[in-house]
Amino acid sequence: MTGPVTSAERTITLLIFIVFQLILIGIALQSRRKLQKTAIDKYTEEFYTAGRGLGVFAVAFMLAAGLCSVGTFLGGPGLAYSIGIPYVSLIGLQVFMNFSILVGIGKKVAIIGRRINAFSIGDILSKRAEDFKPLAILYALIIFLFYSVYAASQFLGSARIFEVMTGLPFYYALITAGIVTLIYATFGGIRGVALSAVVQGIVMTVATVFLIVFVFKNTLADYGSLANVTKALANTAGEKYVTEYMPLKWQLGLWFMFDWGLMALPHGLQAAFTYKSTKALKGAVIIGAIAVTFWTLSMLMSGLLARLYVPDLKVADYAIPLMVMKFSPWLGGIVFSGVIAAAQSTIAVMIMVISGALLQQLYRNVKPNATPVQLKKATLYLTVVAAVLPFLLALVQIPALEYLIIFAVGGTASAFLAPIALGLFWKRGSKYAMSSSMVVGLLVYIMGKAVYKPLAMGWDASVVATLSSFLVYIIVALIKNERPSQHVLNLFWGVNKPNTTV
Amino acid sequence: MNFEMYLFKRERGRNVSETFKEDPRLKNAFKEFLLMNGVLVAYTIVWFLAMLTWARNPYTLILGLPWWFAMSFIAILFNVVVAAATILGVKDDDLSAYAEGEQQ
Repeated sequence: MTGPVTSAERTITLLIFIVFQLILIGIALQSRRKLQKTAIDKYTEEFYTAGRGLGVFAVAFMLAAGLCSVGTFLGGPGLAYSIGIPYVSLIGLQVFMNFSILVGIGKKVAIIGRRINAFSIGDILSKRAEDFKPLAILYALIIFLFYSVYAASQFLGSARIFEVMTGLPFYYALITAGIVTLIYATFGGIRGVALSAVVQGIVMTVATVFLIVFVFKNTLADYGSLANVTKALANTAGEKYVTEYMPLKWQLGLWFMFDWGLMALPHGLQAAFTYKSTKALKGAVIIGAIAVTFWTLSMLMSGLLARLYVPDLKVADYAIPLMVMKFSPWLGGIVFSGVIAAAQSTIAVMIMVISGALLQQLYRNVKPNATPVQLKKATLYLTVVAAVLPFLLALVQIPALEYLIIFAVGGTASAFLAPIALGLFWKRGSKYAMSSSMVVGLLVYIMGKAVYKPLAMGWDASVVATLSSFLVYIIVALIKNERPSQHVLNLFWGVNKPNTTV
Repeated sequence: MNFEMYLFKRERGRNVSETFKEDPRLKNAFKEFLLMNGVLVAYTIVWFLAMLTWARNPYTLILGLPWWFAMSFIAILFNVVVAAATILGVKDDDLSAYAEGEQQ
């Protein structure tokens, strides 16, 4: 390994960052051409779904890179660094996210999306609930509040790493990455986001390849074999680092949320509205599984092995960047680009989801007869709002951000999983079952997480909240004998258009 | 009100799927939802069984590798399972709003 990071090495990292941002701007300009050619009455659909015509790689990476955020590239390795082997034993988490989303509900979402011209899962939930306005508004508020905080955390996480790796104030990265993300989201819509995600996915993969090769090469050179590493970790960080396990309930809860809960995160589901064919779906599942498996396994193992090289970090999230800067500045620049790519791809998809919720569930409810020109303007303005708010939250560095992120992910999944799964596949329940399950899921989660922790009964609050949400949906649907209208039944299950006679 | 809607209104206890013709593509979507759940449940069982067995001794070696590293083989094995389930289990359905030839 080399010595302390020099200013020349920091400059290399900075140059790689700048080149990467310029490439993203180029993609935005390219996507803008396509968007400008779109007829005005199709503009909103093209903006949010890319005309439902995206191929394998765009869908695979929009979903995988969109869901694999700074958490996968910094937070997860940070936990592996601080908790040790007990956390690494869960490295199989989240690796089949494309499979659970696209095979689980992707086909139904794609067909229903085309039937009702839906741009997001919010549109589908609203239609399934017979256009029940309180549900639509609740959905938009949950998305707006939680996702703004979530996106802010991505901005902030990547900007702080920029500060560590370049020595420059983090505002530089925050402003640059913020402006670039805003440009490619507003200029190119979801097509710009998806094409950028392909580049970002490639950058993330290349960064991971370099990282894993360097880390394992050094580890094997220093310790002889992997078999000796467990003992070396115990010597460095203490015996508990390799033996003290989290409670099984905690592990299963985490597993549940990262395997099934992801199905309810609207920024993951957005990809299901964009793919053009079943062939694209299949390809996106297989490529996504390989990519996410590779990223997750490599990052968590590198986080664990970082304990051998940078053993006493105060901020565990910096384990990977600081370790790789010691190996090689070039590697540092590449890995840094991977982290920035992970953050920007997530932020971009989130911006689209927030903007879509504001447009479809709020603006169109207030102004149901908006003209295509008004919709086009509203789309652009709301996308700017959706991008600027997280940016401002990141700028003021709101406190306790990490806890709010956990709330954001867990709360969103707890509120939406039951209405999505039962709403799409069970022909019972309608607006009351869906709304009550959404409210109960959210409230139980907040209660179990922050107000009255015994409510979670030793599980992660999201598990109890999600189960409560499912239970409430079923009880309300059965007690009220609530069924969808014939119109909704035909839309969601039928073979004929709702206005045609069987 | 057409006949099917009449049935729906009159016989509230009846299985609602009998009140209209279902789209076979959406039936396939439900089967694929079950397939996804089956694969993920199997993955969860295999993962936790392996972890609970191997982690009893933190220095267990599997094929000469530390057990925590060998866990990654399960994820890789299930990549193959997921690919096979996707290729064989997901029907190549048309994604149009209303498939040609299916409507009556």
